[in-house]
Amino acid sequence: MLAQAYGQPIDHAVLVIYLVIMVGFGATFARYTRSTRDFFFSGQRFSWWLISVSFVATLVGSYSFMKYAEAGYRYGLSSTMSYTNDWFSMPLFLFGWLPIIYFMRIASVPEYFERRFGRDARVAGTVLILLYMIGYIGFNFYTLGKALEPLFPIEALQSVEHLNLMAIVVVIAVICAIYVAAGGQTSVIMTDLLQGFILLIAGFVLFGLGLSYLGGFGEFWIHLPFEHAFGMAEFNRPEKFSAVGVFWQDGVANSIAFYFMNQGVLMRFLSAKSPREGRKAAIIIVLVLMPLTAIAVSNAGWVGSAIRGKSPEALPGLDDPAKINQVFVMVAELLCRPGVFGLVLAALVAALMSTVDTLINAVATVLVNDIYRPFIRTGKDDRHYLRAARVFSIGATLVGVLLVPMFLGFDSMYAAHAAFTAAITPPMITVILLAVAWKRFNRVSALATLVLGTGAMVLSFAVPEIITPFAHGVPMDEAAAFYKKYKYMRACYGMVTCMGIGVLATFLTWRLRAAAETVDGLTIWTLAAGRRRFKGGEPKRTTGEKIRLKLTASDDVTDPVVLIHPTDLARLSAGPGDLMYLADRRWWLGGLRSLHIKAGESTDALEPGTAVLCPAKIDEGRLRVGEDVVVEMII
Amino acid sequence: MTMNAVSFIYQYVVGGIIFVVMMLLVLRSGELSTKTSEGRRYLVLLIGGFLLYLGLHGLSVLVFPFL
Repeated sequence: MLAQAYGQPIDHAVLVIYLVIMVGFGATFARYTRSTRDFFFSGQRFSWWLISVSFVATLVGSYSFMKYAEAGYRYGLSSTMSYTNDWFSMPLFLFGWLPIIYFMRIASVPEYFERRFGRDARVAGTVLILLYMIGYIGFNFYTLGKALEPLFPIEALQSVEHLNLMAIVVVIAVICAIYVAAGGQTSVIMTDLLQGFILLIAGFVLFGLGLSYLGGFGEFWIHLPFEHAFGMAEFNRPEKFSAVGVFWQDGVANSIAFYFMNQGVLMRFLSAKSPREGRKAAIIIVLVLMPLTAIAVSNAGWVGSAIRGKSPEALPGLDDPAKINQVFVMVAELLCRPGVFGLVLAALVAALMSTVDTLINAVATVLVNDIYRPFIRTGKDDRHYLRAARVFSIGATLVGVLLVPMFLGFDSMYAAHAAFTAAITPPMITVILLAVAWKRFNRVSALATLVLGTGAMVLSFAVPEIITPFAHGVPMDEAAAFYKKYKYMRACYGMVTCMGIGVLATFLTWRLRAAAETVDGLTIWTLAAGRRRFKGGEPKRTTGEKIRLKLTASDDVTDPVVLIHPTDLARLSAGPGDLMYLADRRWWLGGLRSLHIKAGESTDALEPGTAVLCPAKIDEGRLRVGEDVVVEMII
Repeated sequence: MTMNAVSFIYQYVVGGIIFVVMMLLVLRSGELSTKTSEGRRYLVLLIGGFLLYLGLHGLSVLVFPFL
């Protein structure tokens, strides 16, 4: 039977137009991708605001609107907890992990493992991360199809089970593959920037319409059930949504995994023009955009709950408990005029696409940097690896689509994936945290943590009772499948156990002193060495002014340097050999036209107020001769 | 005291311990230096961010529901 279709033809037209614009928009940025550095890290040139807003779209994944609107409807304002508990690990991320990966030019977590602990740790890390991410692509496509199927029931495809869903997945997969393979990280960031704005705008438009429908904020607040008005859930009840469970699973394990381990997130921060810019982006994301995003994705549930409180006959679809997971679409359709509902649907698709595109790009990065380049085809030129990255992007998309029927056909695949990710996250993030924070943490203790920690996690699925001492009174759901027992509190057990294994193994191998090359620049205590390596000289910790200089081309400049008059260099607090950043004066380009280059020897013969480069470097940064560029000293 | 208030206290005691350990790491390693104005700004921002969330969650649990 044909399912109920949501929306009018004009809504579907708005959505189709949106998808066409996305493909065109993403493909436009292919011309900015000429090397693997561009493909993976966008040439490390972007401003904080561009990274921040695009990050919102990456953060809001498949099902976010559906999932958090449902949580908002069931539990009220505490649905925002997951988006507002990331600050605890920020100091180490901002001042430890981010500068380490940036200055040491680390492309992936497995690469970090090799440099810190050796090749066997890299292999273990690569296997775990690839399984995690490719499975995650398939899972995102699966949830994407599940979310969109009720919106686009195509009569001709109803005769074969799941054909409708697969058709939707294939269309979205082709769109993502086109722009990711063409433009890499630059296209991902630019499309995610647009999608981030659409997500936030659509979310807040919906909230405004909801408040208007109810008769203002006062009416909304009055009709919201009292127990839904709390910003945090009850401590350890119910098992499905307790505050202590969300704290350990999301605030501790998932937050650290997201910022320290998620390849897509690492690549987003590595695309910043400097660690300082990455720091700004992270601070704005966690302090400003996360709370806003929490409201944008949850409010349909709150509004739905208040509408039901005011007029129980409204939203009759919610009488059926099985349909509460569609509360977002029901509320949106009730509140929006035709056309506006299409915009909300576009936001839903934006949320789905923007997570998948980041993952596809991240998988291509790991495949090229951790398998293809070091093990299969070593020593090839960069164009070869760029072509390989494009092929791997398409391949990762294809494998993701092929995994969808398995998720559809076997509920246990979903279970296996959930159980698998829960099992690998605590050992991996424990190794990263200890590796960054503790020079004594060595190869043996890292491998022990990965192997024994994963074993301890697997054991917790076989014998969930071992989690009870860590459960803080959260009851175990006896009737649930094995992977659902203590699904939140497993994170507490995992973090404590893995941390214990890591610390104990380090003390037992205390005499194993790490070689300098395995710690220099790779721990928070040895970051100065990383800065020296990045710059190729003694780094500066001071910053000067940002100034505007007129860009001049000269064939006489043969070295890859920028020549600047001594007076201007003094204003920049820079000297010969310092790393400079030159960007088009149009701030709204966010660094799209920009260049990192060292300052050359400065003489009074140079004209003040100018920056002189060779034509090839100007072309590389896509800068405009004769126009002003904004110049700053990076390090 | 409501169980929601217990959640709030727990999150900011345990989360606070994690936060303080991480702050000590970045301060003692010198990566966050209080000797520069930029470092002091970041220090204020990090502690301010923690207090901001603590304040928002505190209000959302202890005050807003009773308005």
